[in-house]
Amino acid sequence: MTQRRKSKKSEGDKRAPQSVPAPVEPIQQPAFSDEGDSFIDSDSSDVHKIHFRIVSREQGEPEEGFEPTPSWVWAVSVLLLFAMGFYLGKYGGSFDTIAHQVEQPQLPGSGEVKIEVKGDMVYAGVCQACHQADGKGVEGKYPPLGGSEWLLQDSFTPARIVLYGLEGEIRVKGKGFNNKMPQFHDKLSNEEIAAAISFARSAFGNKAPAVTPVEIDSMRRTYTGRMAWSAAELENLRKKQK
Amino acid sequence: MAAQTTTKEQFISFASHTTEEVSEKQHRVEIDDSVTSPVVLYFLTGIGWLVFGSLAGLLAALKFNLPDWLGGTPFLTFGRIRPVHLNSVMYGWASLAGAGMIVWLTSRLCRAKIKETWALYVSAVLWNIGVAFGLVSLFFGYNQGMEWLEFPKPAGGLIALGFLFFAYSIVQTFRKRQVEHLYVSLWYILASLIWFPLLYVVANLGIYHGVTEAAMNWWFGHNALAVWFTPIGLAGAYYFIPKVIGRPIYSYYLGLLGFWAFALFYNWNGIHHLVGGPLPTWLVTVSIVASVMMFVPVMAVAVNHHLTTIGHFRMLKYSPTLRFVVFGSMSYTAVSFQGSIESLRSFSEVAHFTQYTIGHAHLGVYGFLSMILFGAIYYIMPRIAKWEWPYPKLIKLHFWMSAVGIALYVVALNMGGWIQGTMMNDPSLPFIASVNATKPYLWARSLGGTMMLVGHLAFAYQFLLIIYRSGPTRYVPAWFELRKTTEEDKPV
Repeated sequence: MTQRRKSKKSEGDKRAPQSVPAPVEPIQQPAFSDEGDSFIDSDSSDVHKIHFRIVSREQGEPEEGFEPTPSWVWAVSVLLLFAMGFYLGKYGGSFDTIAHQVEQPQLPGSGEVKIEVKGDMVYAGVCQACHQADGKGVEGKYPPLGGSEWLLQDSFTPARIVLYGLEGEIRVKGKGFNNKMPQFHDKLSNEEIAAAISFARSAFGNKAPAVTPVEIDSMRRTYTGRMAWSAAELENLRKKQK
Repeated sequence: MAAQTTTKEQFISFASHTTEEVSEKQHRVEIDDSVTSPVVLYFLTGIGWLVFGSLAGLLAALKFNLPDWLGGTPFLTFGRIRPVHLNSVMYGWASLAGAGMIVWLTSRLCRAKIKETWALYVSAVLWNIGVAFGLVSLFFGYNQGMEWLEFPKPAGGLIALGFLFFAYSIVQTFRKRQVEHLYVSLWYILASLIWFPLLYVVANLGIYHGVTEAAMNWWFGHNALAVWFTPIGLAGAYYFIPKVIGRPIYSYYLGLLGFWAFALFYNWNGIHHLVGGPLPTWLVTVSIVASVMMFVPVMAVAVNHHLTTIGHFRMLKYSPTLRFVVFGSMSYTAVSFQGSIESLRSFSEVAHFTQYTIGHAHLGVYGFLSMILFGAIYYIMPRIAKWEWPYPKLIKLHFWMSAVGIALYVVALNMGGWIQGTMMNDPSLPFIASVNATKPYLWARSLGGTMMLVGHLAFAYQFLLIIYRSGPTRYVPAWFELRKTTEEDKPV
């Protein structure tokens, strides 16, 4: 250890010629010591000398001078204060939620905005889960829509079914079903129901005319408050219409 | 010999002055002796976290250049290594080294030996356990998910407890002070002892949700700088510049203006990180106003330091401490003015969510705070280790690696970040174009980071040498260059 330190020392001297090649023995002990309350022991007189020199050469503890603040510092500070006061007034949103109430933007074009309801979208979102994407239904569970006499014979029957639901036995295209179709009068608008029925009447190989929201509305008003239809009731109503 | 070398005898002759001077020097020796162990403990562990944190940072930086590299090892993925870097350098390095510096500064400025040394040991131990525990949690993926508050609650608790013990010792020393007048550095130190625990506890209450949580997160993130890291840096700059130069700080009044404007405006700043976010408009605007008003304290500090140094710039040639501290002080001015501009809405919408912000953060924490801490450690260690720095050339290497490294880092990320921001705001460009454009700048950043790491290794090596009093025995200060010494022109 001592050997290594010595060689290091002479090396350091060569590289740093300003240090004095003093005939001082390098310290033998490691700097960490159990003695005393200090990490670094101060036994070596050499260490004392070095330390006193270090402390001696330093300047006194710093103090404040009492030069006045340059006037331009005050000028800039006051100008900034004014500028930012203005900024606060301009962009502060009056310290109110009013800044966050956005007006409805006016769309280009003539006044009222017409929203087109797409039948295929309504069908995909509402009907498809049972009647399937191809309109063939599921055998023994959900009746098909493609070629269904109930859908195609007249436009009132499908409107009645979609608005107020259907329960019990029914024969569609010669096959029997016994299930429950839910009501949609409280879930879909006239426009949506008309669009969905019109879509079903023109898709899956069907070629029946579209129904209008006005027709759906009249059905809705006529049967307000009723429960699900049975197949027999619908059949009777259809015959009466004729 | 034009530049006369200083001999051992000359130094002894400096030392033999009047008895008053000798007793004052003896008093300094006693003060230094009283703080030696805790300060070495703070510095040593702090530097350990610095080296570790720089490695983690470099790893995170390289992942931008080599995205797949080490991606298969969970604890080395970017999402973990990045908070490890941040918390290691902030709560490890900067906080512990800063605490060490504060202990020495307080003792010297109060002209009193440190009191309640045991509390400092307890503090250093708790603090280090807290940081270590927190970092291990982050490696395992336990993260609170808020920037600057990633540590799990127990780790945060240990750090808070450590801080209280630290503050207790400092306050006790302050109460036994032997001076009437309080120097500027002490204002900042004592203010931070009151502000920081309050901030840390309020931020960790865990009662914030949604938008409030975001607001609290940035209130804390920015205020960690405002009430802890910046006061450390400013206390150091206010002390070491006049100390090394040997003349009083220019103006007490500028000091007052700087301190009170700092106290008034800085703590409102955090919300400027949420420009464009779903917060009340007035909250963001108030924060921008306060950020711009930070021009006032920064200007006051910059003018004060500049007018103190003016006429003594040649000392930068010799004194490592002065060179590091002046670099840090100039970075403070630069980073603060940059921050004020960045808070403006029109600037923020381009620069904020880009590499620009990363460059800014490093200019603050490294260019300003860490450089001042380096300077402080170069000054303090010979006094408490009672040994000169063995290799001035390593100090020189450290300075240039750090200075050039951080300059490269900041310039590259500010340029790359601005380009990235303008491209991200251009709807005709695909997002990936803004990513590809930053590539050369990210390589430059990794190079800058590597240089800083090299500097840290030189620093850490020499720090180990000085605490073991190893290396060549030197009788003169470790200046960068040889300097003629006369009685009037005392070495520093």
